[in-house]
Amino acid sequence: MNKTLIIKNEHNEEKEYDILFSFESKDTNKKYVVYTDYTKDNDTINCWSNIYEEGRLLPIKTEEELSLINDMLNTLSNSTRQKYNNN
Amino acid sequence: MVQNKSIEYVINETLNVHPHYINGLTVSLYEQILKGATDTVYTRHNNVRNLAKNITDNDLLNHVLTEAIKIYNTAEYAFHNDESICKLPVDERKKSFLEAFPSFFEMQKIIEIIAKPDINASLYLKANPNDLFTLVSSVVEAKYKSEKSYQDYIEAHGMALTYMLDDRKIDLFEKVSKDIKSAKTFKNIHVNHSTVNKCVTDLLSGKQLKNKRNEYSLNDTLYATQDMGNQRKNQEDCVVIQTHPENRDFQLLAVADGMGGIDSGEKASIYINQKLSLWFNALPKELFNYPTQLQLLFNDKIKDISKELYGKYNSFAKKLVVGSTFVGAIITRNETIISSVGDSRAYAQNGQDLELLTYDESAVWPINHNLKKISKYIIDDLRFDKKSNQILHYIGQENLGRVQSTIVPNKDKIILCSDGVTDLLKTDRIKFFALNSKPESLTKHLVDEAIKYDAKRMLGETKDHYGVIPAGKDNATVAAHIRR
Repeated sequence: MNKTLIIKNEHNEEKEYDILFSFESKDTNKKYVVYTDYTKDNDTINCWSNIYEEGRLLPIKTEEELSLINDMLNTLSNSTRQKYNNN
Repeated sequence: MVQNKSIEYVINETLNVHPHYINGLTVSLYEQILKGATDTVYTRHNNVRNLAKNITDNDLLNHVLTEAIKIYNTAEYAFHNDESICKLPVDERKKSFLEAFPSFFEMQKIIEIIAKPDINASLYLKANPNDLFTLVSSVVEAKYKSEKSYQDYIEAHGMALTYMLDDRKIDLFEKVSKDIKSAKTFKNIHVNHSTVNKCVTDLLSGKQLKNKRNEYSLNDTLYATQDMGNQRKNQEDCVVIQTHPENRDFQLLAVADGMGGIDSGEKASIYINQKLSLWFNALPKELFNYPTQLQLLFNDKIKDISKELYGKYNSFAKKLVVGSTFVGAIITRNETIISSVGDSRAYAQNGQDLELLTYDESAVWPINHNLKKISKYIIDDLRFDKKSNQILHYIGQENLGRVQSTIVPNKDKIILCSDGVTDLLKTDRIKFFALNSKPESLTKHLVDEAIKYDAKRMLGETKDHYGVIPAGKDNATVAAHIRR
């Protein structure tokens, strides 16, 4: 899988983001990607999510899709925290 | 959902007709769970393949999880109740138990994670394929490869609801079944694990330098602990532990100790490790098999970083403003590459031996660098020399020249230390912790020793030697790789 995304902003400036994870949904037949630039907002690392289609990033529009992203994010961050706590 | 008994029937019938299928069963189940079920791997005999057409990846995952929980429950039962284990003396019980349930502790860690209410078992295992593989192979060993009497023993004791979470009994079977149902839409999950490595996250965000203390662990083989110490107001050491995104056995660990006073030291150490972390992440995974070539690349990268640091900070000042010592290790298939600059050190523990793999590039280190010929008493006394902090070689020089580097066969432990640790602990004390600490505690023990206990010179103070090095006089950092 690709490890980074390069995204141009409205001023045509490029910025590189690290992909945290991606997955597909059997229900929607779409691919979703979540990525970060490690900037923080009140001690939480910022990350963004989009539909990924043929090299383009499209906005996520439905609550169901957002819920899928959250399920995955929760499992990932909670299991990472659990592993560190176990150690 | 296709019932467990049906899946068991399909697999057993296939094994009856094609006994050699057992050799590929673990990989077959693992791949079907991740990539999608297929009926073509099963026998046509007795209409088995038609039955298998209805089996989905989630059915197989449910089967593996159900059987894994049964094995876990049985192991718990056996440890506390089985006569053949209980009658043994306490120190022999664990050994006998592990012979019967060899992967119990690995399974325990995974089950502790998937039992948590806020973690979806299906998503977790599909995002962490190594843990999935552990469970699949344990199930295949216990359920399909073992003697019938063992399988019957698991059936007899495996359904007991013994799992306790926060003083509550958890029905794990019910939980995993619900998790699989709620995650059934997910497929082709890919997680970039290096981006959720807390150490790398803190390193890349700069947060690592702000904390008084950091403790990291990764993959059950990599550990790191840092403490600011008792005298410094800021953290100028930097540490990285990480695995290659495509191969968890391909690993980098490194400690950089910044020099040069306020602000500048931390700039150097974090710059070095950030660059190396990104470089390592982007390496072709095939280099895991080519340590000699990788060593050249590693050392060239260290030299490039030195030149970059020089250009960024030092060339205008015409003197040392920003610099750092460094020690790093890359674990490959059979060998470990060690590279260092300055007086940060690498040790290897193998069996009962502790070996120093680097020499200090300082004003006081004996000119003969043959480590085997320098006694540990001389090495231990050097730390009290008042010139011992005069470093001859550091990253931040325009032309670094040769990087101290060696390749050794993989060892039980690789331990990297900043001088904030090695100045306080003599060799035998490092060896004591290396041989006696639990893997997850080793780096903590070494750092704690360095910040709690003074080092006292046996021969006392002289005009050239300190008599005492106070505890925690410097930032203290240790990173370790521990072979499982």
